Amino acid sequence: MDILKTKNMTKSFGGVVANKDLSLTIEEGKITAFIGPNGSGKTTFINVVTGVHPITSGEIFFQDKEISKYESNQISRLGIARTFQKIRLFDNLSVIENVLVARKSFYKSGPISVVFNTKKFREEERQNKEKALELLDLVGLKDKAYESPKGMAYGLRRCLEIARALALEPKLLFLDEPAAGMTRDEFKVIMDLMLVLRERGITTVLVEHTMDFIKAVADWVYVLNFGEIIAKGPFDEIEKDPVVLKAYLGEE
Amino acid sequence: MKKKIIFGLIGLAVIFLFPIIDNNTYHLYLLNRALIHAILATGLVFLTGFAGQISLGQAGFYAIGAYSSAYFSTRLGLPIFLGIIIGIGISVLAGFLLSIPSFKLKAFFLSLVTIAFGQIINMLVVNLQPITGGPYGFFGIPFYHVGDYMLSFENVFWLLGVILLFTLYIMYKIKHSHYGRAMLAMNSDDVATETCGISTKKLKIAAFGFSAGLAGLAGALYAHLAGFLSPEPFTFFESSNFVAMAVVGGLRDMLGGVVGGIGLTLLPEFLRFGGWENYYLMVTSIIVIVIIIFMPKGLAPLLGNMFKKIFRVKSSNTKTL
Amino acid sequence: MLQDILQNIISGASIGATYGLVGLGVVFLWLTISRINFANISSAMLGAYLFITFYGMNLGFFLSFVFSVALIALYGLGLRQFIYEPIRKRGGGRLEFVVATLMLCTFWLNLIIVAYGALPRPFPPVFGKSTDFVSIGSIKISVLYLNIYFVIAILMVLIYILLNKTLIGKSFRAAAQNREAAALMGINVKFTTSLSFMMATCVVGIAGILLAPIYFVSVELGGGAIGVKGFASAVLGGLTNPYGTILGGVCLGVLENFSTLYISSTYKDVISFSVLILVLIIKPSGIFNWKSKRV
Ligand SMILES: Nc1ncnc2c1ncn2[C@@H]1O[C@H](COP(=O)(O)OP(=O)(O)OP(=O)(O)O)[C@@H](O)[C@H]1O
Ligand SMILES: [Mg+2]
Repeated sequence: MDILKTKNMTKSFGGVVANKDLSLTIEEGKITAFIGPNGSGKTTFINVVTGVHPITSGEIFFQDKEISKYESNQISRLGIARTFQKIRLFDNLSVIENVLVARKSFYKSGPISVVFNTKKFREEERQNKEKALELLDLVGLKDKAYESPKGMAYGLRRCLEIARALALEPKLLFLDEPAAGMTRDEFKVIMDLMLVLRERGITTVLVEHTMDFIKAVADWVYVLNFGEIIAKGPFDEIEKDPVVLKAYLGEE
Repeated sequence: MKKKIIFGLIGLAVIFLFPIIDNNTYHLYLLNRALIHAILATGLVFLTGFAGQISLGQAGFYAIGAYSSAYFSTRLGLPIFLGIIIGIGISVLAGFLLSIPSFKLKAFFLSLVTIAFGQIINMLVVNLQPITGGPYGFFGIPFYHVGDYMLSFENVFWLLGVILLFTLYIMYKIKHSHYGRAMLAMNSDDVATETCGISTKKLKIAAFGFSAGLAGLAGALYAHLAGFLSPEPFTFFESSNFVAMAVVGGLRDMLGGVVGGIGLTLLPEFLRFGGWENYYLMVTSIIVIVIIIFMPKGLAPLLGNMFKKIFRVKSSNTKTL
Repeated sequence: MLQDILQNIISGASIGATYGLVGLGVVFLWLTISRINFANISSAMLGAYLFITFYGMNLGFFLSFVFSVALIALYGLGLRQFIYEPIRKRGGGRLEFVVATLMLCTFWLNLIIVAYGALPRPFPPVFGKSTDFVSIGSIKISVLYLNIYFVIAILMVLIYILLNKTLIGKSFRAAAQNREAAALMGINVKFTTSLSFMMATCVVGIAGILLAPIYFVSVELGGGAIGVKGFASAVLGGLTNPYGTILGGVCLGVLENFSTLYISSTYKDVISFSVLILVLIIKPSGIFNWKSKRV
C-alpha cells in the first residue's frame, strides 16, 4: 500500500527548479530515505508535500486523496507531521507546551468552555497533558517538561521537535536531517526511536547525509540530484550504483 | 498561595473603596477614563504581545464602538446595554475585516495598513455628519442608568472595574488554554504553528476580532461616560497612544494593558496639574520614549517584581516576629 | 474642458511630487535599516516652521533654506544617535522603534503648538503666488507649481548623482543586505546609517517647505494625512525605488485632484489611504518598482 504518491510534482523558485517532475510513491509502514548532494531538492520535497511552499505544478496524493492545494495546517491535521532541517521550536513556550501546541486539533472545547472552565475542558486538558508527557518520556525529555527549550542542548531540542511532530499522531512523518550535528549517543537515540516508530506502524520519510544511519534503518532509498530522481531501491543496491557514485563524487 | 489570594483581595478592596475616599468628580472621571483605556490596552496586549500582530488603527475600533452605541441608544432609543453590545459587535466585524491583510503582511507593512484603516474611519467620523454629527459633535448620549436610577461616577467606576476584571479573567483563561498556546506559538513561528495543524488565519481573525471587540467596548463605555462625542479622540495620535500604553505597560504581561492604560492616562494629568500645564503632552511622549528604550519589557513586570519583594520582606518579618 | 484637465494634472502632479518627497524619507531609511520612521512627516512640519522662523529674521530665501535644511540634517543625526542606536543596542525590535517614533511624532506636534500656537501661519510668497500665472498657449500654469517642479527636478538630479554616481548608493544596498558583511567589505555602516537618516529627514524637510504655500504653515503638516500619503507613495515604489516613489506620489496627487473635480473633495484623502491598503494587499513589492530587489 502506498501512503503517499506524487505525480509530476514540480517546484521552482524563480528560475531555480528545485523539484522537477517528481513521480514517486512512499510505502506505508516503511522507512523511506531521501539522499542526494546539497541543494538537490530534498528539503523542498518535504516543504511542498507539507504545504509549507505551494506546489508549482503536478499532484500529490495522500491515502488516495489529492492534497496539492491544501493549506499546511490541513495537511498536518490529515496526519502528516514533520521536523525542520533548521530546528524550529517555540522558544517562548515551555517544553511540554511546545508538544501541547500540536495537540490543539484534538481539543473539542470551544472558547466558551475554556472561559467557564467546564469539566469537559479540564478533562481534555488533563488527557492531552498526559499524552504530551508520554511523548516526552519516549524521547527522554520528561524530566525537563516544565523548562524552557531555549538554552537546551541541540540533541535535546531535536528530540523535542520530534515529540512535537508525534503529538499530531501522524500516519506519515518527515524527518529532515534529524542526526545532523548530533553526538554519537544522541544519534543512537534517534535511530532506536525510528525503529520503535516503525513498529508502531508510523511511516517515516528520512532525509539524511549519514550513510551508516540510512544503512541501519532505511527500507527504501530515493536518490535526488538537481531536483530529479536518479536512482531508487534498497540501500545495498544504491550503494553500488555507478550513477549515484558519480553524482556524489562529481560534487566533491 | 492562599496568602497571595488574600493580599490580592485586600488590594482589590482598597481600589474599589477608592471613590469613597476621594470623591472629587474630576478625579473620578479621570479614573473612569483610565479604566476604559486599560480595557482597550489589554486588547492590544492580547493582539501584539500574545498573537504577535500589530494595529496602529485601534482608535478606529474605539470610534466604531463609541458612535455605534451612541447612535443606537440616542437616535434609536435602545437601552444602553444593547447599544454597547451592538457597538462591540460592529467593532468585532471590522476587526475580522482588518485581519485579512495580516494573512500576508507582517510588522511594518501591517502597521501601514492599520494606519490607513484608522484614517479611513476617522474620515468617516468627520464626514458622515447625519450619523456622527461630524466636527460639530454628537450630543445628548445617555449617561449610565438602570431604569430611572442614574448611576453616580462611583457606581460607574465599580462597573468599569468589574468589566476590566472580567476581561482580564477571560484573557487569563484563554492564555492558559489550547487557544493561548497556539497564539503564542504563532507569535514565535507561524510556519511551525501551521505544521502543528493550526490555522494561523483563523487565529489572526480571532485575535483581531478580540482586540477590536475590546476597543469597541472601550469606545462604547467612553461614549456613555462623556455624553458627547467629537472626532478628536479618534485620530491616528490616539491610536499611537494606545499602542504606547500596551508597550509601556508590558506586552508580555497579563497586566501590561492595565498598568500602561492607567499610567498613561493619569501621568499627563499629574504633569498638567503639577506645574507643566503647557508641556505635559511633550513631557509624556519623552517619558514614553525613555521607558521604551531603557525598559523594553515594560513597567508591569517591574511592578510585579517589586510586589514580590515587598511580600517576601513582609512574610519574613512576620516569621521573625 | 481639456484645459481644466491639463491644469488639474499639472497642479496635482506638483503636489503629488511633494508627497513623493515625503515618501523618499521612508525609502532612504528602508534601504539601509529596514525600519519605518513613523515620525517621518514631522520633518516636514519642522522644515516649514524653521524656514518661516529664519525668513522672519530677514535672512532671505537662500540662507533661510540652507539653515533650515542644515538643522533638519542635524536632527536626522540625532534621531539615529538617540533613538535608533539605543533601541538597537538594547535588543529592542521593530515594535520598540515603531512606538518610539510614534511618540516622537506626538512630541514634535506638541512642541510646535507650544512654541508657535495651533493657528496656521501664512507662508511668505517665496515660490510666487498661486494666482500668478505663466501662459503656455491657452493653458495657464501657476508660478507656484512651476517653482515646485523646479526645486524637485534639482533634487532628483542630486539624488540620482548621489545614489548612482557615488559609492553611497552601493553602500546603502550593502548595509541593507547585511550589516556584518557590509562592515567586512569596508563599508562604514555607522556612517552609511547616519547619512541615510540625514538624507531622509532632509528630503522630507524640503517637502515641508514646498507644501507650506499650499497647506499653510500649520500642524497639519506634521499630522496624519500627509504622512500617510508619503507612506502610500513609498509603498507604490516598493519602499526601495526612489524614482518609483516620486512617480507614485505624482499619480496620487493627480488622482486626488480628479476625485476633487469629479466626485467630492471631502473624500479625496480616502484615495491615498485606499491605494496604500490595496497595494499592500495585492502587490506588497510595489507597483513602480522596476529592477526590483527583494524587499
Ligand atoms: N525558499 C527558497 N527560495 C528560493 N530558492 C530556494 C528556496 N528553498 C530552496 N531553494 C533552492 O532550491 C534548491 C534546492 O534546495 P533544498 O533546500 O531543497 O536542497 P536540499 O537537498 O535540502 O539541500 P541540503 O542537503 O543542503 O539541505 C536549492 O538550489 C535552493 O537554493
Ligand atoms: Mg535540506
